[in-house]
Amino acid sequence: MSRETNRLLGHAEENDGIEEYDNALPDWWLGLFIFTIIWGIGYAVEYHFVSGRSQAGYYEAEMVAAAEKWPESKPQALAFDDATVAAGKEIFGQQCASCHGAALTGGIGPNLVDATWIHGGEPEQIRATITNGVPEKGMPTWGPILGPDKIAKVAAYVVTEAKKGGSAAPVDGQVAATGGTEEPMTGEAIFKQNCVACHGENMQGLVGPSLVDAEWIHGGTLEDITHTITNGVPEKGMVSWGPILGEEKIGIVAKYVFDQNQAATAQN
Amino acid sequence: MSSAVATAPGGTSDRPYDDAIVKKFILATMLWAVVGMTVGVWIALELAWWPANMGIPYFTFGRLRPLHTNAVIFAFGGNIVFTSMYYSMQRLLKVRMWSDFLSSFHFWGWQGIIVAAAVTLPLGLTQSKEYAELIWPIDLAIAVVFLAGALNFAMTIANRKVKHLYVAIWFYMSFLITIPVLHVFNSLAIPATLTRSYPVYSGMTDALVQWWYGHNAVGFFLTTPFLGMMYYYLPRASGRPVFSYRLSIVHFWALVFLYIWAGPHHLLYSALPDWAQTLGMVFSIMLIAPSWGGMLNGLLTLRGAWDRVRTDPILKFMVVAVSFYGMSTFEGPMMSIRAVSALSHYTNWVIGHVHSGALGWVGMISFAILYWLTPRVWNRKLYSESLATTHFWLATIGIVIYTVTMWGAGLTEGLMWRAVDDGGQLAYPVFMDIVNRLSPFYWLRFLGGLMYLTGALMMAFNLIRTITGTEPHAQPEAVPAK
Repeated sequence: MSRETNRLLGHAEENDGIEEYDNALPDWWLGLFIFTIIWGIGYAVEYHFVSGRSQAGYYEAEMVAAAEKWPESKPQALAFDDATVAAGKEIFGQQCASCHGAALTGGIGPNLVDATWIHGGEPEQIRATITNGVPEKGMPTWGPILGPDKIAKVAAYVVTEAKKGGSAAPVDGQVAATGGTEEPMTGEAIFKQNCVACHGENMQGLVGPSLVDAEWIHGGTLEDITHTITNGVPEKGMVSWGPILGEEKIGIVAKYVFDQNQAATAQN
Repeated sequence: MSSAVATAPGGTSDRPYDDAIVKKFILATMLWAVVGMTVGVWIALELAWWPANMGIPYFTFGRLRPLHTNAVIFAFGGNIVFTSMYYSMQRLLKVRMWSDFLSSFHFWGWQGIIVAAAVTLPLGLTQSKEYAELIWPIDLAIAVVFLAGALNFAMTIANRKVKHLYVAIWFYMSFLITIPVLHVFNSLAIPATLTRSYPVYSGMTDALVQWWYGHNAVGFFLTTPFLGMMYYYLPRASGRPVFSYRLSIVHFWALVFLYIWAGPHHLLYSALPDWAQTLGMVFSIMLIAPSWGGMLNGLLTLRGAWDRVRTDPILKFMVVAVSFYGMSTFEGPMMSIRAVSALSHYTNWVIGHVHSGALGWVGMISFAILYWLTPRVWNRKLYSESLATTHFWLATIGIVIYTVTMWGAGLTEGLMWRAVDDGGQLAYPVFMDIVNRLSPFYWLRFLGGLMYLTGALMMAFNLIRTITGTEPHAQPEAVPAK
């Protein structure tokens, strides 16, 4: 900054009293400006004319690298060894049980251990249904979410249980976890763990009906609600929670639903 | 202001400067600042805790977000720019505004547009172009009102009593010329009904025109007029000569020439041709020095006045404003680099970047000008200097919380979106898992925004008490160094 003169230009009279110094451009500022211009031109020339880069090129290179790192193996034949089936059971508990039931007997989604297969009962057909989903009916496309490896495991589990024909012990995982030692015993916790997927986080209704409006399809007394939860409404997709939750928890969650409904309808 | 003969505004005796229009714009600025920032804090809360939308469709995030952006940019930002221009241009040109009718038409027209926006956006009437959401009849009104104001400014410049045009005027002129061009060409549409229209551009062309507009709304609405304001009010408030006349002219021309090309950096990794993406990126990099020219000239002008920065809240606001200008005009070019954009694009990092510019630069310089101007045009002593200092600290800490939080949120989601596991599958395939992870950041951002809003409310209170006070503004005008 040695070139600073701090000489006033004498504009104050015309600038409403504001004076201006006649200082030179700071060297480092000018240097930065020139550097970015040269860099900009250099980058553009290098990108387009020297290396011939492009975003399509990057995409292709990334796809090739991915194919090398994760070769698209021909789908492995389904394995039905105990370890695979056990791993599949765990995945089923986390991802599938909320709709197909902890015992695979159906709920929102169809029963997987009866004699009927809507989209084909051969192992490969089951694997395809899981991978591609049935979006129009609400079955997600699990391919990109779970990946082929996990899908093979869960398919193996479903096939194994289907062969047994309905004697499946409830899976571990989300639903069955309610029977574990760290069981939630407040109505809110039980509701969150089992009911929100269909009735919504605030009971406003999603797949299942709203529980906080004034309308009760199957009766709105505490007894009615307890009854509906216990026996379910299988034809509409409401699970029979009796064997899953047990009497005590159903009592707690029914009371919770009843109270929440009272509070919500009282407000309106 | 009949009581203030001693401080009658300058100008010739038959045509004194019009400060009544300045007062109107100051009041409008304060009103829309509070409204726009309140809506901002509200939608920040909605992101952390959705029941804040009260289950009412008009209050949902998608409708209030454009209301927030339009209110803070065009209502708060626009009104403070016009406030500053009406005051400083008359004094720099030594002549009263050319037409009182146009001044008044400009003021009421602009407020009418804002009210129309505040009604239509919550109703869901929108063209869905960011920062250009307003429906075509309002777009038409913007063009008419803005050009009426621009004509008034242009004729005032033509009738000026000085030969030399101060650099602030150059910056104001770039705003007056570029904004109508951007607004008109981006809004070209064929009306179908009173509330609906179809853009004349389609597909990628539409996107490119939109971001040519969108980026230059930042460049020529939130940058050049505010630099003009800095060039007038910072030397006036500090009483120091501008560091370098040459720097001010060189960085002005460099800035306006380069800014207009940088828009395509909003469309990196899109269907936009590679060469156009490169153009947007390199012009953004070349913008660093021209932007920093403004910061340098601001900070170096304060040499010799740093002792006063410790005590004077107005100078405090200005120093932080200019520093944030320098910070965000470095961050912006970095984010326009292809590799950085690949991580930052579509994340909250972008929101943080915008707000470090908007809260840090635009907001803080605006507050400084309001604190400096209000006592002068009303000739009333500032009600509380310590309240202004408290505002300064609340705002500064609020911005830091906001910006840092959004960096954290942006990096978190950007890295989670792209993460893959050992098998080449997405590590976080369920989008909601990532959204849930952002919750603490959203709460902190709400806190930062709330602090900033609280400061703005303090300012509104402070300035209203100033206007309604009785003690005249007696502070001697700072004399420039000889």
